[in-house]
Amino acid sequence: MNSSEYLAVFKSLSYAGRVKNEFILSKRPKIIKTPKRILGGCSYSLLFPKEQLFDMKQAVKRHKRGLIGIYRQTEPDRYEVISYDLP
Amino acid sequence: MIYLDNAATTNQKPFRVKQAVLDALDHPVNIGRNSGKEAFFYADKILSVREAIGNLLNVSNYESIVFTNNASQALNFAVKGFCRPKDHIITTPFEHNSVLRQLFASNGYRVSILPCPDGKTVDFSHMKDLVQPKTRLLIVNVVSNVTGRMQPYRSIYQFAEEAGIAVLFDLSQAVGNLEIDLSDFHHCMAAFSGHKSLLGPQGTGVLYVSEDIRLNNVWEGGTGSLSNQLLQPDFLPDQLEVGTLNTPGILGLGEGVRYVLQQSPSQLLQHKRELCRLAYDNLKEMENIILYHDGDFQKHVGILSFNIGTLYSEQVASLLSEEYQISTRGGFHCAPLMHRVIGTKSQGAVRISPGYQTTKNEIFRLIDAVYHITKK
Repeated sequence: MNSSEYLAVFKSLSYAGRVKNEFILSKRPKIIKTPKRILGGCSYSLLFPKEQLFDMKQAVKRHKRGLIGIYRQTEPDRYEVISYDLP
Repeated sequence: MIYLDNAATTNQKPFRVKQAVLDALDHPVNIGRNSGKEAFFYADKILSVREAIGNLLNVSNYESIVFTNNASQALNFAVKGFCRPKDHIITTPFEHNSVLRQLFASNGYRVSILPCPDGKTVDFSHMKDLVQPKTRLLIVNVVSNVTGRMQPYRSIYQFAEEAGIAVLFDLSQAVGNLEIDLSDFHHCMAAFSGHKSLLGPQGTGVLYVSEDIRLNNVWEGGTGSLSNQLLQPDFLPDQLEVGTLNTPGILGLGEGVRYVLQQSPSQLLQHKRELCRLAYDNLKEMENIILYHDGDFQKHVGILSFNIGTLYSEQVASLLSEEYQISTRGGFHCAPLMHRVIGTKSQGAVRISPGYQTTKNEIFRLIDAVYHITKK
């Protein structure tokens, strides 16, 4: 993961998958396991570049449920939350 | 063998159903836990099955579509997750034992059963008289698995909504036959199996939970989500999808649902209805045949039950199987109240239920066989 990348962290794989499919195929974010630094246990996240931040917020708002938060990577294995409660 | 027991399990599945099952068996991964590319690939496929089932029910909140092992498990999740001891539940004589046995077990529920005076349709006009302050749920089997008779689920929901009661629809015989639209129903659940008219594999079922319904936990375990927490997730589908998913079954079900949507449920039903009409028109001419059908095929799916005089239905079903190689279903169909309503509580009935690939010739073979039995 590059330090310019962002993560939308979801409660479960179903929510992450649903939001991922809101993007056209060529711009679909990648699903990854959420880094343990953010959330101790299992969870899934969508990894996306800064340019997609607006689109991701819109997709999450449309979807309404399941988001834990959107995070920005500041350093390797360090993250800061930038949004918790979009819907 | 001529197979006429598709209301229990469809015997012939589209090839794509088998392909999907085999593909998943060739790539076993633990979805929701594993971090590999393959796990995410199959997770997408599972999501697409939720979407296909959403299309079938005309609902868009796909996360509220919970995969279960069968309709019985889905109905247990719904009743036990929604109701508490001393809650009052209203239901109908159409119900399967997967509902009735829960209600009459020692779960502490109080139960009222709506009348079905003509043996055909439930009289919902009595519902207002039955509603009590503790009435929580109305459970309705939308299509009887004994007679194939349909109930008007939309007006039933309106009755319940006006009374402030949630509805649990058993759609086991309805999905794949009727065009179902739950998009306007915000206080309902729907349960069904995947291996009947949806043409999926056995071991698959679905519970749909609308947005205004909250369920209590009925079991707990690993979900692959929020795993550092000791409490069960409170969001669907994870709350109820405990343990490793039946990926081969779910992906097979997905192909069955897509096939049904492509063909259209009404088109598939028309074929089965025509075959039942053919059987009905011929059987009604025979002496000693009792048909549990009034000939109004627009109000029935492709199910036809009958008896031959006072012969036990199991005996007739055995004769059909052993001497004529025709597979039907005798007995009580796990629906004891429905058999009381139609007057067959001792005899049961012989049920035939053609499938989407059943032919007219196979129905003629049945007609000939029944005729020979009546002459013995």
